[in-house]
Amino acid sequence: MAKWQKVVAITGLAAGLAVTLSACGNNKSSSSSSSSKGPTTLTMYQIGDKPKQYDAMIKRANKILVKKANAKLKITYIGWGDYSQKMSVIVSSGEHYDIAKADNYAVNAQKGAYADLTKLLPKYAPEAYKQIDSAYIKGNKIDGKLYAVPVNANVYSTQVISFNKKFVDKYNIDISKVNSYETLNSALKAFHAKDKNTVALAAGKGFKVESNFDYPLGNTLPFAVDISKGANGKKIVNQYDTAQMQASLAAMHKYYQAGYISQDAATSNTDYPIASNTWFARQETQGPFDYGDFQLNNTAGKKDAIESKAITVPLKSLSQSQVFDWVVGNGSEHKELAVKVLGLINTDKTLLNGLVWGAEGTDFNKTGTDKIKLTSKYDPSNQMGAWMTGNNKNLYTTDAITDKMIKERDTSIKAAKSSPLLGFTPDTSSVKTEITNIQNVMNQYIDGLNTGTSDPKPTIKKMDKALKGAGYDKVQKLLQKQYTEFLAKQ
Amino acid sequence: MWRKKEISTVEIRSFGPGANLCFNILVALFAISCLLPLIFIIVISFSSEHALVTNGYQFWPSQWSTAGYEYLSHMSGKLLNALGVTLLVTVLGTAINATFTATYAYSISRSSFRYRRFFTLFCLITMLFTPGMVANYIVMTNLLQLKDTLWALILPMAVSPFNIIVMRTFFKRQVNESIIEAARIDGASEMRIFCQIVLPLAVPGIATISLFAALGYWNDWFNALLYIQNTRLVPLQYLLMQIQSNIQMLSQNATQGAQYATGLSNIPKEATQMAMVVISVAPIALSYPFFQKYFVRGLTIGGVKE
Amino acid sequence: MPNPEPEMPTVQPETPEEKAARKKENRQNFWYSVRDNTPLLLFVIPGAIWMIFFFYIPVFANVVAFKDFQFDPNGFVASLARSPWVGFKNFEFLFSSNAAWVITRNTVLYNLGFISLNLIISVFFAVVMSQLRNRRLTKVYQTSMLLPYFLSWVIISYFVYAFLSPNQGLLNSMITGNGGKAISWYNAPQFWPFILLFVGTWKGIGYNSILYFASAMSIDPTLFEAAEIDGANKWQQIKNVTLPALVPLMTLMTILAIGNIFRADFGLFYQVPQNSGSLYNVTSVLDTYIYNGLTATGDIGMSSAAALYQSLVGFILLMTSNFIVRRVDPESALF
Repeated sequence: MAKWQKVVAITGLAAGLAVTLSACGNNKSSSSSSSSKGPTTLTMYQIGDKPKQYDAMIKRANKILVKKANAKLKITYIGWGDYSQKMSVIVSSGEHYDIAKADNYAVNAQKGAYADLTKLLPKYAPEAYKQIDSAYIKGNKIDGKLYAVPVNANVYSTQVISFNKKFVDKYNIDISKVNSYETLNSALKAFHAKDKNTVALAAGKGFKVESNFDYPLGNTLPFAVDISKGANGKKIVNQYDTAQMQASLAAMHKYYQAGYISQDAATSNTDYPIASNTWFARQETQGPFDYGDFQLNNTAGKKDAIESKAITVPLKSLSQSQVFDWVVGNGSEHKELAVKVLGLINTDKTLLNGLVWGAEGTDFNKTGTDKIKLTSKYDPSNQMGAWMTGNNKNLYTTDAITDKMIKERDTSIKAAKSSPLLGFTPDTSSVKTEITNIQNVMNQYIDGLNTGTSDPKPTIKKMDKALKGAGYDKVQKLLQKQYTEFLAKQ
Repeated sequence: MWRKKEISTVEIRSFGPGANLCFNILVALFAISCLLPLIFIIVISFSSEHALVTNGYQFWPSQWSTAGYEYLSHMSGKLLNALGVTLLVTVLGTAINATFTATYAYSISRSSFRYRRFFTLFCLITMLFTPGMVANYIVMTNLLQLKDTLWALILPMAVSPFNIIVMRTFFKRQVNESIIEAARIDGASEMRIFCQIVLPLAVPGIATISLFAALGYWNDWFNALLYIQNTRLVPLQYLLMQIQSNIQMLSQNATQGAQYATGLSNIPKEATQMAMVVISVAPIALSYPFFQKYFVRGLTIGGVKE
Repeated sequence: MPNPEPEMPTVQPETPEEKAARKKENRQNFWYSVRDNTPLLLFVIPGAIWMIFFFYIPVFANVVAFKDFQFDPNGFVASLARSPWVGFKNFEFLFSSNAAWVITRNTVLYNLGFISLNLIISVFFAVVMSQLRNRRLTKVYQTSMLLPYFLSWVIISYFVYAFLSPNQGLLNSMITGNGGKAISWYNAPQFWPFILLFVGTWKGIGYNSILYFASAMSIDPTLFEAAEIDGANKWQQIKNVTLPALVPLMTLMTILAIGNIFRADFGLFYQVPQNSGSLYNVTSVLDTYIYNGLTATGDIGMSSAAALYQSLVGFILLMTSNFIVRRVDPESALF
């Protein structure tokens, strides 16, 4: 017994040591950054690969930041696939950082990981705050508080089916009547008859058939609000139980059986590059800053390579409002400064365009106030992506984008409908167990259903039974209750 | 009959010639099935991208190409650097791991060591739970302040409690306490006893735990994911893993629009990935046969009863 | 605990005076004994320090399994202090749903399958290899058989995919070539228990058989000679000499495997079936269930709860099986 007591005593001692030491460690690491009188260096975590010209890019940016805010940025890049895991460790461990791309925004914000910017943002970055579309602000509010500086870009999105123009022209296929998955049949059939070796409809693991829904907990869970014309948008439903979803899935299943979709779609990670001719039709997401098919054509590398047909109404959705959020760490010592810097990134045109387009004179030349011409040296992988940096309205545009296109863009933003879900962040902490179980049930069925691999009728029946066992009803009731309360407050 | 009997007394363990042939074929077939994946990877790494896209993975592609390796030669600086990091971490880590594990195990195997029960228990308890990623991260970054250093790749695997217990059994069985006692009476120090008497007896065991440690260090990418941000300190397996997870993440979000597509275009394609696999597997596969002698002997730990 | 030799003096009732005197003596003896044991203590210290830093300090974070984790700006310890206790709520997801039964069943059954298959096949190969005439060839066999053991599951999964791919897979080309109907392997759960058992065993067989081979080679040759003289044929020699000599190692390996019966090889069950949803009923095991369920929510309370559950069950099983083996045959026990 004495041995056990010794072990307990020693481990207890070790624990005590741990607590004191970790406290020391915390103080030390946080005080070191603010000791000097010069510009304060802010640490920033960003998703993606490090830009090839990072050093030149950050030097340009810091010159402006030192002058305007006496601050410097140090950006650490974490790969696409690692960001979620690494950020969750950084956030849980309480490591100090100043700015980061939000990860799992709603959940982490609710638990207190991010600084409350409700007052800070209008105070320290008033200009940027004013310029951000109100749908973004509303969509990022959690229980009335704002924790993010969203990047103002594609505020609404339309789901479209994009067609490879080369094949459309070559085989003279009529795509004019396409407005949903059900109406896609004749086009796919015509193509498949002519070319059996190319995939008619590109779909792989993680593919999700989109319809007129918005999702309170993301589109991998069944919970959805119907936002199509005529629906009242007040009910939380299971998207797979609705007639419109079932019709789309039935159509997908038909296409799968006819061989229009790759036979291993449910498990395949094959990417069908936009620029390649490995596909005929695909689902894409488009927003105002894509200028119709302009952006897709750009990726494809030539004009008129792609033609798209919308299958949903343009919607300022909850998920769209949180596509790219900057957050300030709750442990940051320089919250005000971080907000100020984020404000500058969003509003200072020289700074923002330097981050996105590169250096004036080498990567681009100015042809008008906000117009530029890219040089041969320009390479998007040298700098940051536009959608993950700052307000896209303040970006210079290339010659290819006419004033008419910009005007159309702005009117389309005004015309787009807002999702009733904006600003609704359910508190799911009491049903964590159920949600985890539901997630597992969904993982089992979601890829099979959405890629058309499984027959929707019997599969959905089985899935609903499994969902019931996993606690679907409890979560649905809770969400509905919170949602009704939320709507009543509006 | 008599002649046959003579032969079999010479090779007392062996089969007769007929059975020998049958079993040889059987084992050879299985051995070939084990070699296939490596051959397969090498073939893919030499397949042309076009053949891969249209026909998928094949053992005999319709079109050969060295494009995968050519792409790698463009990033050879990064690759060589990663290879250097991996080598350094593996060598240093293995040395540390083998030393710490062997000394600890030796001490608790000695019945004259007064605190051996305590330290055996101390080690056993660590096998009971796993501390969890976040807590380890805090110890490494806050307490030890070793984030972004080579030590962050070495220390997390510097001791393996399980190997300690196995080695303890090994020492107990291989090293006779009476020899040690005799040496002590002759006035040899503990250090000398360990180095000159115990170590030579324990070579197979140490070789085996070293091989496992080396394998662990060579294949580790997770510690790099947690602790390494400096691109100069990225080990080979993490480089591979990053590409892998980037592809998965990006291709599953491909419908999110043109923005994700630009991210995808920077990623090497399948032939290149396989070429990287070849490069990362080759050193281990090539150096293993040299270890094999010790390895086979060392694996009898706990199996051999004197 | 693990100590075969009797160390404690025989227990005899002692008077209070004797006890006090012994205590005093003990205190003095403590420093003497530290001095006496200094060299061996120094040997232990690096490992012990490592254990303190990489186990005894961080392990306390496991309390998060019993808390609803909330963030605090003052770091992890403050966050822990701030988070409310929730008892065993974080463990519920492992037991509450209908799937819980399926995943537990899969995990245990697959592991039992692996334990028995590994035992039979690797002992078979080991015995065969120990009897082959050409030693050099045997070495070549062993080297190649160990190769899969070094490869990661991602690579193995590509390899399996080359056989099972619905469009271009080797198996389907063979089936259609003979006039059959192509099978969508990744949507056909009935095949997967066999595929998984086969692939999992195949990967580990090289390592395991070398283990038994080494043990078989260390058998005293005179035993075979004696058997030969007694007129035993090959099969009888194997049955009566080789196999009994392998029993202790077989027991040891089984004890270790039983300790891990609640842990599944994540790569095998996640990468090899390509995480295909329609196979979940037969491929879902504890590790993949935890991973799939928690990547979305990223709740560290629930993930530590899952890890705690697995380690605890594993430890209890390991101890129990070791205890039973010690009762039956003390020599074969792990510790």
